[in-house]
Amino acid sequence: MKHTDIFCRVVMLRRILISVLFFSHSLFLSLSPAALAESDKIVIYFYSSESGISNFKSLKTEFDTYFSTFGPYEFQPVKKQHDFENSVKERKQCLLLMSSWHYNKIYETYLLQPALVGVRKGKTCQKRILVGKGVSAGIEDAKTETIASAGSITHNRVALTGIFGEKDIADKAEILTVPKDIDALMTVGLGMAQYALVAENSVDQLKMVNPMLYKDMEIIAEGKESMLMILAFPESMEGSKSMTELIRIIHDMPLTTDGRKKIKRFGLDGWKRIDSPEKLKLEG
Amino acid sequence: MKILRLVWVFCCFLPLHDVSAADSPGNKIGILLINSDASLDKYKLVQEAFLERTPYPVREIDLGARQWGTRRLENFLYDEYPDITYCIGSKAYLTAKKYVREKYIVFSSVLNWLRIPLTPNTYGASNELHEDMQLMLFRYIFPDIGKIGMIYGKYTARWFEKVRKKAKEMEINIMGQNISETGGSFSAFGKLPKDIAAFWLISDPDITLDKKGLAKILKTCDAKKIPVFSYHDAFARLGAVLILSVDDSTIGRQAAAIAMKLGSGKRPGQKVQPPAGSHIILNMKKVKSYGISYNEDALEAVNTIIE
Repeated sequence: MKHTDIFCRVVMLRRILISVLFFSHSLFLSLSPAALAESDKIVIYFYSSESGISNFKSLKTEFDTYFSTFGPYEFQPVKKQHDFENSVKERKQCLLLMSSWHYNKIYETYLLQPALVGVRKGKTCQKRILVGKGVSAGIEDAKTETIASAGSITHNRVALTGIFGEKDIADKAEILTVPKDIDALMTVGLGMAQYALVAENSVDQLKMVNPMLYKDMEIIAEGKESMLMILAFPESMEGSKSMTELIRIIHDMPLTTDGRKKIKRFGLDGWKRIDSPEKLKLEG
Repeated sequence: MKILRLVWVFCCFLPLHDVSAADSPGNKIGILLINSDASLDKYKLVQEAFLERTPYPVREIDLGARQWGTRRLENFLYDEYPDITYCIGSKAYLTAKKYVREKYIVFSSVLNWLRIPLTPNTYGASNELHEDMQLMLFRYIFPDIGKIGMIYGKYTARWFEKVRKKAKEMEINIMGQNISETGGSFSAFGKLPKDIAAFWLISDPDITLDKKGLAKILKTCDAKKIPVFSYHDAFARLGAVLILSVDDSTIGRQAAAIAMKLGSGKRPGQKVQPPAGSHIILNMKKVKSYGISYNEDALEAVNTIIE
């Protein structure tokens, strides 16, 4: 054997050895507990088009602490609709908490399935209503005056299109976005806005909190009934044990004091599994 | 030497300002935004919300980021002479008032706006939650609390009377004590009825400057398990149970709505609007340790829960 042949073989052998070492090292890293936990982790993304929630840091801390006691779960509130939808695209191992209106808009694009619907005071649906104050309060007047409302502008304009019957008018409506329904009602009481677009149950709360203001308020119009908050998952996760387990954990939240208080943060009392007629209604 | 001179001449023609709007020659300036200090989160949030809602081009000045000498600022404002100047914070407002007082000025995030001189063309959103809103939120979160104690000073005596009347309408009994009649915050607090169910700590310079007295009040409240309601998140760290303050993003949106109204030739109904959005902090640790009942449904409206 020539010296050059031996040299070539040694070089080849060294290359193979390095490759094997590199491959096994990568494999070891990818199977380390941290990496395993990361890949198994299910993220619950939350975006609400119906409320002006802005306390993301606080919500994340609260819910991360709560869910981490059950397993490798993470709660991630998202500020913008666009970022929320991007998260769905990028991460398949996730659950999504969103409004029924938003679900209806995106479920086909992102191949989503609904799992649970929120329950409040025994109901799974709500109406948004337009309330006003004063003698001139009426639907025609509302078209040109300031309307206070929580939630995203897009969602509010859709609701107003339903109420006014014309998209052009709803698009031109002057909307003052506030963080919560109670702020919207108070804004009308204090004269910064003439109308408030709020969930029906908020007006009931006003009756309890400020009966004088409640007496002055008049319901101008009612929007269509829509389902409360939805918990959905990507179709690709159907049948996954870990996902089924997390859905069960969320469904059972009202069974403990801590869990019940946590879902109150979304304005809910509990969850209900979505049945076929509800799915049809939701996606219709 | 020649090169140095050229550089010097070139520098003389550089713009004297630091603005972030596009400097296209044909771009008509709609609004000038002056931020007292954009490095402060509160002011930054207000600015972002304002820009998000304003359809007009906006030029921005950050008084906190660069050294704006009086001369430079004066030249800039006279050169620009904007139709509407939106000012975030007192420093920004006083600057605008000095140089462009004839034009529309919209302000927000000014602590106690009653202290600042308003021009006939000034409009704004105040930084203090309206008393009705505060009372309503107390009732909403703690519906069983019907008797609230409060101490006040010479600056807030009239306000106290107004609040007391309003509170009655909401079936809340406000018991007050003027500190100028007792010689100090703590002695005024001591003269409040013993059966108050909560203590409302208001923003009054006579009270906040009396740090020792204030610390004693907070300690006593804690010992007696009397929940403290207050206006600034700093008091949450000192044991306050409920903090009600303004929502900064809403303030920015309100200011944008005022500017848009002025831009379209209309005048806003109110010269200075109260804030339309609230920010709520609930100290659940204290709620639990004091054994206070609260409305669980109201948790939806709470921004931060301290646990």
